[in-house]
Amino acid sequence: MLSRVAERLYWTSRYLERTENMARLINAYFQMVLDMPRGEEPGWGILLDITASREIYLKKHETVNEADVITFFIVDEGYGGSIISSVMSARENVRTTRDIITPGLWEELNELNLYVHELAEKSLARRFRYEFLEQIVQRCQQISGLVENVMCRTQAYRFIQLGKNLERADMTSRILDVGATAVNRRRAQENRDSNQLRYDSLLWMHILLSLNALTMYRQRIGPRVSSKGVVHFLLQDITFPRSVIFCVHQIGEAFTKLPRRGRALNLFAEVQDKLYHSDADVLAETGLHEFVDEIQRDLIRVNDIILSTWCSLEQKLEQTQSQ
Amino acid sequence: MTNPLEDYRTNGAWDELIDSEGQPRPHARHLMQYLSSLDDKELLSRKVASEIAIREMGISFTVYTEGGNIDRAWPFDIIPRIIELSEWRRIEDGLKQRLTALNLFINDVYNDQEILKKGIVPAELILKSRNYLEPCRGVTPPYGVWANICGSDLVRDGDGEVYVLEDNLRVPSGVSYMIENRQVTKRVFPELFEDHSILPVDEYTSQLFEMLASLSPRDLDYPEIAVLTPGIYNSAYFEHSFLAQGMAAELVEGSDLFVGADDCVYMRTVFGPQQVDVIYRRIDDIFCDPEVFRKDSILGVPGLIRAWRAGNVAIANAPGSGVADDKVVYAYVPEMIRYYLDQDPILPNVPTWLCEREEERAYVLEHLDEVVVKPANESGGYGMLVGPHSTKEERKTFAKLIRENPRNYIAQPTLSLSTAPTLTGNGFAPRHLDLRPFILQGESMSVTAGGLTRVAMREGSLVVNSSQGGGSKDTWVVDMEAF
Repeated sequence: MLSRVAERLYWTSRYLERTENMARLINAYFQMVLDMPRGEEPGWGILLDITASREIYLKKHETVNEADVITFFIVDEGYGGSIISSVMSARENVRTTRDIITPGLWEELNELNLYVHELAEKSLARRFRYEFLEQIVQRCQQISGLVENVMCRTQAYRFIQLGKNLERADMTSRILDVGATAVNRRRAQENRDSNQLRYDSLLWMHILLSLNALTMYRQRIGPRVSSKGVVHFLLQDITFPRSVIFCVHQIGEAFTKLPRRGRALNLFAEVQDKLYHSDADVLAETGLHEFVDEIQRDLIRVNDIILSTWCSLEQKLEQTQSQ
Repeated sequence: MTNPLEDYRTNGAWDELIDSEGQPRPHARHLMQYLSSLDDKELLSRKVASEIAIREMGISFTVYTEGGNIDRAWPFDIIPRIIELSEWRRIEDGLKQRLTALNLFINDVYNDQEILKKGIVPAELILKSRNYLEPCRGVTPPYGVWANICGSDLVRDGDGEVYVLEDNLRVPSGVSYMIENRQVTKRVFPELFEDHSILPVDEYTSQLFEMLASLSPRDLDYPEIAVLTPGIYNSAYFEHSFLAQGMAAELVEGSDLFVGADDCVYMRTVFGPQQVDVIYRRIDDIFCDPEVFRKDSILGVPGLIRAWRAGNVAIANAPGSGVADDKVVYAYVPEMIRYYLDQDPILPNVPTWLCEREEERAYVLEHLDEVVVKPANESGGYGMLVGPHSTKEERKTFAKLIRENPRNYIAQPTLSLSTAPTLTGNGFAPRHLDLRPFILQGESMSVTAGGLTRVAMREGSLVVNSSQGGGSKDTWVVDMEAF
C-alpha cells in the first residue's frame, strides 16, 4: 500500500472521529448548561480549553459567549477543528482513496458532507441544535459501522483503526483534563458548601455523558459518580471503548499487523505501561492535569511515529536495504 | 402504440444503422425490430434507467470551468452503434498495420533516422517539432515499441468509407468509458444480448496488464505496475483510477515515486520503498521529469528519464512518442507504411493539405469556408475551424493564424461524418459520430472490439468531444455468422 494512501486513510479516520467527538461534546455541554443553575456552569470557554483552540477563537471573537462559540465549532471553515471543516477534510482525504475503501463509505461520507453544508447554519439556533448534532453522531456511527462490518482487515483497515483510536484517546484525555481543572478551580475557592459538592458530581456525570459513558460507568464502577471512579474508568478501564487505555491497546494491535513496526511497538509498550502503573486514586486528588499533559505528549509522539514510519514521503533507499 | 422509428429520416450522411431507403442495414435488423416494439414511454424509462445506472456506477468526467472543476455524469445515448464483424476485422488489420509502422517510425527517428535521411519524411519537420524530445535519442524500448497504447479516431464519410482522422499516441483516454458503456447497456437492454452475438469489450484491462507486464525489465510473473496520474483534478482521473483498479496496479502521483542512487524507480509504501517495473504514464511526457524537461513540473519524478534510459523501468507510452502524434506527421503515415512494411495502407488517411507547403496553403486560404482547419498540436477539438459552420470573422482570424505560423496548421475537406439514430427530446434523430478504438502493442498486439463511439448530441454538429458537449454510445461488433 502506498504511503500517501495510508496517510490519507489515517487522516480521514481522524477527521471523522473528530467530527463525532465534537458533535458529542457540544451536545453534552449544552445539556449540562441546561441542567446547572445559573452561575454554576463552567462557561462556554471550557470547550475552547478542551479543544485547545482559545487562541484561534480570540482572534475572531472578542468575548466568549454561547452564540460565538457554537458558530466557531460548527460552521467556521477557518477553524480546522470545526464540524464543517472536519467533515470536509475527511471527504477530501478519502476522495483519492475511493478505490480502496468500500463504495458505501464514500457515499455516506458524501451525504454527511451535504447534510452538514445544508443544515449547519440552522443548527446555531438552540431549538434545532440537538437534532442536528445527534444526526451527525448517528451518521458517523453508520460510517464506522460500515468500516467494521465490510472492510477486510488489511492495511487500509489498520490505518483507519489507528486514526480513530488516536483521535479518540486524545479527546477522552482532554475531556478528563477539563473535568479536573474545573473541579480544582472550584475546590480552591472558599465557602464551599454541600450544594457545590453536589454540582461537582453533576459535572463528572456530564463528563461521562459527553463520552456516552454514563451507563457503562454505572455497570463497571457503580451508581456513585466520583472523581476517582471517573478518572479510573476513562484512563484505565480496559473494557470501555473510549477509555485511553482501550484506544492505546487498539493502536498497539494495529501496530502488530503492520510491517517495520519495531520503533512503534516500543513506544506503544512505554505508553501502555505508563497507563497501567498510574494510580487513579492519587491522580484524582493531585497531579491529574500534569499526567494528562504527559499522555497528550505521548499521543503526539505516537502520531509522529505513525507518520514517519509508514506515511513519509521522505523515504530513502537505505530503508529497503535495512529491511 | 406509436413506433418511434417510423419518423426517422437520415440527414444525407451515411447512417450506420439505416440505409438510404430508410431500411435497417442487415446488422441492425434485430436491434431495429426490437426498438420498434417499444413505445415512447418504454423508451423513456430505459433512458432513465441508464441515467440511474451511470450515477450509481459513479461514471463521471471532469469539466474545467471558471468556477472550478465539476464532476459530471457521463453523457450516454442508449441506442448502440453496430459494426459488422467482417468489416471490423479489416479495420482491425488496418489499425495494427498503422501502429506497427508508427512505432517503427518513432524508433527510427530516435535512432538511425533513415527515413529522414532518405527524405521520405522531411527531417526539418521532425527535428524542429516540439514533440521531438532530444533526451530520448538513442533509446530502444522493449520490442522497439514506443507507443504501446494508441487511440485512433476513425470516421466514416458519405461514401461509406472509413478513414483514420488522427492517431493519439500521447495519453489517449476514453477506454474506461467504452467498458462502462457496455455495462450500462447490459443493464438497460438485457434482452438484446440474447439475440445478438456481440464481441465482449471487458477484456481490455487484462490485455492492458499483459501488455504492460511484457515490458517489465525484471522477469517476474507479476511485475510491479503503477499508473501515474496527475491527480484528482485531472479530467481523466476517473479513468486512471478505473484502470488501476482493473489491473490491481497502484495508482500513483509523482510524489509517490522516487529514483534511487541505483537508477531504479521506487514507490513509497508502508513497507518502505518498493521497486516499480512498469509505469503506465498518464501525464504528458514533458511533465514527467523536471530534471530533463519542464523544470517547474511538480507532477513528475526527478530522475525518471535517467532510470528509463538505463533500462531499469519501462514507461508506456515511452517519452517522446508524441513525435508521431502531430497532424502534419499524420499526413505521412501512408508513406511510412509503404516504407517500413512495404504494404499498401489498409485504412486511408483523410486527404490533408499541409499549410507549410505554399501551393497547398494557397488552396486552403482560398477555400476556408469549405475545409476544416486544425492546429497540428492540439487535442480535444480545441482551436479548430469548421469552414462551412464558421463566420466571416472566424475565417479572417484563421487566415491570419495560418499565415503567421503555417507549420502549425493543416486542413482537411469537411467530411460528412456518419450518423446513427440517437434518442433526442423529439424521438430518434440522426446524430454525427466517430469511433476511437484502442490498440495495444507490446510483445504482441491487440485491438479493442469496437471502441468508444462519440456522438455530437446537438443537431448538425460535427464536434464529438465530451469537453464540448459530445456524448457517447455503446459500440457493438456483431458476428452475423453466428446466427
